[in-house]
Amino acid sequence: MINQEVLDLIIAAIILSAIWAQLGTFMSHKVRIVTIQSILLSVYIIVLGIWNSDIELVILGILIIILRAFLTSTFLNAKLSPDQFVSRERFGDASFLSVVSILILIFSFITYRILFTPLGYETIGDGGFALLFQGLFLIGSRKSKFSQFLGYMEEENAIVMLGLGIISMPLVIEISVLLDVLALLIVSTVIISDKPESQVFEEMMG
Amino acid sequence: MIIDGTYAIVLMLSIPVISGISYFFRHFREISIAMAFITLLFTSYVFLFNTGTYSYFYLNNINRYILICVSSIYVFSVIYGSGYHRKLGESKHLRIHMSMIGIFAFTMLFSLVINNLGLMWIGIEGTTASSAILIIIEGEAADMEAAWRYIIIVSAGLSIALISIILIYRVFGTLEITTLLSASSQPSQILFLAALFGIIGFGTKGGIFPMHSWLPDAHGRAPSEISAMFSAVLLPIAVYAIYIIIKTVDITLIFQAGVFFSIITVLFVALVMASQRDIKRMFAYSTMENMALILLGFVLGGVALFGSILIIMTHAFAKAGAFYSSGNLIESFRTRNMAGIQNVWGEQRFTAYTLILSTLAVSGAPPFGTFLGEFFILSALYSHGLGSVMAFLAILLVIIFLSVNYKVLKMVFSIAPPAFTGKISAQQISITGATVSVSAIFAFLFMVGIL
Repeated sequence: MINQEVLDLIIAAIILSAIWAQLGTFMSHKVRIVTIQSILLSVYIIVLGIWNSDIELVILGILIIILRAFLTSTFLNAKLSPDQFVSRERFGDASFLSVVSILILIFSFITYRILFTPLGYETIGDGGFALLFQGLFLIGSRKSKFSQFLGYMEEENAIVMLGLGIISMPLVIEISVLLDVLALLIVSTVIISDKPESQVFEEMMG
Repeated sequence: MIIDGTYAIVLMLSIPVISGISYFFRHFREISIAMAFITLLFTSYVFLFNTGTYSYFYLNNINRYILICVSSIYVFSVIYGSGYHRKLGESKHLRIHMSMIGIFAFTMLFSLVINNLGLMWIGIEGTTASSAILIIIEGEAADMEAAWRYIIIVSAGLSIALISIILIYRVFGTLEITTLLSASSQPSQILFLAALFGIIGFGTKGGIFPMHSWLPDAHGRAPSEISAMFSAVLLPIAVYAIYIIIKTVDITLIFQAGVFFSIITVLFVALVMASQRDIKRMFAYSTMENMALILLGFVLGGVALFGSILIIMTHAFAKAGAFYSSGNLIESFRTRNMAGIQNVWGEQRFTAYTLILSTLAVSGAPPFGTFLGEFFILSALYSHGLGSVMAFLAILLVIIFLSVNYKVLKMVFSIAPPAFTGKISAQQISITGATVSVSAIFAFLFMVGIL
């Protein structure tokens, strides 16, 4: 019972980190928040793996720390300006964004309960579904390519959580997904470094 | 057979990866072209094998044809690209570009033959990472923006497809495609969700409305040989992934969802096509139309499935020809805007021919295979008791046909003072002609009973 409560606490912390990432303006802070989120997720997986004596989960958790938490933040930080005010994101009304984030959170909790009821309720799955929508909102609501990529990272974390709630995928698939995301990150940093914000081109309309 | 099936497939997959080392050689163009040719030879060899499983791989009567298309367009694009980018000389950018085309071809071939839905997803996601770099060879700000939109929208969409795969794994306990296709299951809410997430997720990569928004940007800004690879073979692979999921789930609600997404995609294209100004964006929207028709054929099955295969093959070569022709015109007239491209008949006679023929082929004019494919799909709609949907779709197809062909004919035959035209390389001209010629043979192969 206590064990489950500890795990639920980690899930709550992951969701809080997603809300925090919505509201942060300094990009270096945001990268740190998503790194913390990935570490929390890997801690969850490692603890679950130890309790269930599942070595595959432990390996997955360790790989998430190395590939997603450590390498990702290293790549992204390398592209950020050392002056945090230079890489500060400017967006509209923070209070509006926070309200929308909370509404999306409530919507995702309700939707999960309606859609995934036949599979039985799992807190980690519910948390993953909520994080998925937070990631999508981060991608859709920002012009900063860094923010959009962090939204994508949240989405990938969400898929891992959702997968744990539904069924653990074979380790080879999980590792390949992690490596795929890393490859995508490397390609993305090449593109991000040119113009850090999305632009509007007349020729790309219509 | 001289080489065992599994080894032949492994060799087919390995050669494009090995071509990546061309980066380190002075004759990187020649090495890339030679490797692409060898890949096509091995693919043709694999095509001769019986359908079935070969260790971790499998062949069926759909992926075999797409394999041939991938390898052929890979060869055509490498040759075309070596001419199109000749001004870049032996620059690092061009070396990376030529190397990455091989990696891109590998990810596509791998996605098609791997007998595991999870690894297929990884292959398709891999196509995004390998091809995004190919868009930005010219390094313009708009190219960067298009590549970024491509990465972020497609990756976000494919994440949704991964949920579909997790749900399928939960229900069936396996991701082996051959097992999934032969398994039977009771219709359930979870399976419906799996299929819906699959259509939306893989549909993002396949250019299915409403997650298509990356498509015109990426096709419009990519170099022509890459637009050709995207449109001709990459998108059909994503639609093929949807086919696997639909066949696995096989419930009535998904049949209806598949028909809905296909029709709404064609409707969207019919609405926006007339207002297009950029020649490559126009052909990108035409690709959406064709992908929607292929999806519709996959959903309907039977004769419509055969129609889809005909469209895949004819469209692959015809659309490559259309993009190569567009590349020739962009290079000559120094603009992508169709208003600035005039009197092609007077200035670029051979490109005028290839442009007209390829446009007729991609828009479904008789006697091209796309026309036959559309006919089979429309008749299947009617035989499923969807006569009104068939009539509506036919009207939309006519609107798109008229919009595209009017714009192309206007470019070709409009009278204008002589414009400055850049010289097109021999590779570009010959490859453009070759692709358009190949696109014309599929209807003939069908009529003589070979296909």
